[in-house]
Amino acid sequence: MTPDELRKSVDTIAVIILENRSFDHVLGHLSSPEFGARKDLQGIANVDEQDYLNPNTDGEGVAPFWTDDHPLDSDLPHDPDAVARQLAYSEVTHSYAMNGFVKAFEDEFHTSVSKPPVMGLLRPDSVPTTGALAARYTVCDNWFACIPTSTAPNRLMSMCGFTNHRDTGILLPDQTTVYDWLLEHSVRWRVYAAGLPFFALMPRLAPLVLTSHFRKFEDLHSDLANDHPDDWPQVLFIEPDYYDCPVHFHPPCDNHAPLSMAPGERFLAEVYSALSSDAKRWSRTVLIVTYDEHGGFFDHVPPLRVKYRNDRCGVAFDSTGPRVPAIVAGAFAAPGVSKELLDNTSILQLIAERFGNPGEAYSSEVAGRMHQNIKSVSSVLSIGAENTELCDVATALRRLIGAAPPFPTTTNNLRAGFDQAARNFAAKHQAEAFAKFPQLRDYVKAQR
Amino acid sequence: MKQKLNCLASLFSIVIPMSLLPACTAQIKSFSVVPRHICRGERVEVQWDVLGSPSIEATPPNGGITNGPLASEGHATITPTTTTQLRLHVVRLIGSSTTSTQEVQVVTDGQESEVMTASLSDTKASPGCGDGKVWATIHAERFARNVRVATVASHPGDSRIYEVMHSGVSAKVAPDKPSTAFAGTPIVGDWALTVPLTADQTCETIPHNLVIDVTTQCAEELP
Repeated sequence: MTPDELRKSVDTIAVIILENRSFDHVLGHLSSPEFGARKDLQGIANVDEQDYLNPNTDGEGVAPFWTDDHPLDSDLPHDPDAVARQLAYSEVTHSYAMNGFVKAFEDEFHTSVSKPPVMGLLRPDSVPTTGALAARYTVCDNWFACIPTSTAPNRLMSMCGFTNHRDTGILLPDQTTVYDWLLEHSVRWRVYAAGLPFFALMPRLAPLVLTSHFRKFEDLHSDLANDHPDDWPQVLFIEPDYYDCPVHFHPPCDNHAPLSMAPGERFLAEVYSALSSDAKRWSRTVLIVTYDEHGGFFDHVPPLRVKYRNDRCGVAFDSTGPRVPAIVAGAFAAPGVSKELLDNTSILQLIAERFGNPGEAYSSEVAGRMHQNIKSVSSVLSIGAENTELCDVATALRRLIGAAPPFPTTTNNLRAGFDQAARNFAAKHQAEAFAKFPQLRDYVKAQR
Repeated sequence: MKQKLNCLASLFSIVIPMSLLPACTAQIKSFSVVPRHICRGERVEVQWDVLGSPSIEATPPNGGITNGPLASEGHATITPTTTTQLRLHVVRLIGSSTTSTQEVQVVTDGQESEVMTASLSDTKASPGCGDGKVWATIHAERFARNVRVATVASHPGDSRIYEVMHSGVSAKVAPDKPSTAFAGTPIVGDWALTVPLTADQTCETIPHNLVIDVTTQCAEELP
């Protein structure tokens, strides 16, 4: 789609960024003869492929295997050092072997089993919503995590186009975000969050989180029904309840291991049902479903050689991270596969093309990635797609989700950061914070 | 000591930021089983070292390990007769729990093959490529010495001929033709693999793994 076509045809861009799953783990089954044998995308046609073997500590090769969705015993390794080991750059072939997932897992978790969870590939029944969307809309099988590291730097890349942190710290550094860009460009935007919004971790943004830009997920339906079209946001970010946030407003549903995928699949079905419920509005909406990073799960496609340099903060990477599941839905997303090279900054490119001044790049950092062949999501869209038929996500909606999340297996920086953000929020903006997020009061009280 | 104080402070309801909680988090410093691949009834040494209160659950149950609480550092000996999972679970009063699992594999004679793999990205495998060939070494570890080689074959789909050196024996392994040249040698130890490049291959285009399939048998059942 050209910028002109975008401006004429797209009113709303809706974005969901889930947590920590790789493309092959979630959608690799699409290529398997057992599960549909799609030849148009790069999934896992044969788990016994020799190059998919990941050596373990004992010298055995571990192949990927089909599995059903279930909570795991623990999170999986995905800090920058672990990801480097997973990508397994070879000085012999001068390429990434993608066969260090098992050793990275065994080293960090003292676990040696014949079927390590990092090599598990979900069967289609485990991902009913993602599967339904993948069948109806455009699967992007060359969509990569921006950088080979953990959650916070990848979410900063997604929402700022750059990161000042190499790994996940306690709180987020003060960076200019897409929210600032949208405000500056007078674009109507909102965040609908099922839990505490991720950017509550950035202290500067706490007052903004208290404004009507940030709303509860359960308000999405009523706002869709009641808002005048001129008030409806042009850019929507829809956030799950994060597993690593110790204060929950819903059962966590971000798909972060050790959480199972079931709550996230239900959340995704609810989002899709809500947004597609108004046919007229849906016909002018682009919905993007993606993930922040691969979370330690195996993927067989090597990362792109897209360099990231932030010399001021000493952050440098020579490639993207592994592929993540990504689907673009809506009337302009034809059923099938996009082979374009994409990452989460592709969303910022799309926003700039649609809502920026003609020819304006989102930022110099995002332009830098463009020059390294990262395309805009507009490259996935087609004015002629006319894909107005909806998909059936009732299976996921019918599933019962247990209210209790698995007990956290590690205390990590993100968990500590959310805790600190919640406390700061309550301390600095008590009345407003408790009015907006009543669960915060209970959380802070329980900590005393 | 600092960790203990933090935990004690929590017990007395002093508010402790979550950032201090790692000090109270259950942690597995080490957990191992040696050997991990055995013949039926062989002894396996289980060792653990944790922060917190550990327990180990064996599936199927094994007399050498009790399901009750254990010391934070210790070892035990078990003699599995079938493949057994040992699940180490550690809890602390404050903070979170953690779990690791070690699986002891009991060899079934010749029924399954061990897919032994060397990655060209693993510097410990001493990989290399040049003069028309590629090479790497598999370090087979945690196999009991009684677990012996029956046959060696290349992996299905791999049409290359491997030159294999192991336990002082050298032999070529061709596709679809299992070699008995290594029969009776312990699988544990180094396996040096060399494969010629095909006419259309360069060092940049070769597969990332060198793989051999080894069927095993137990020493006492050797002919």
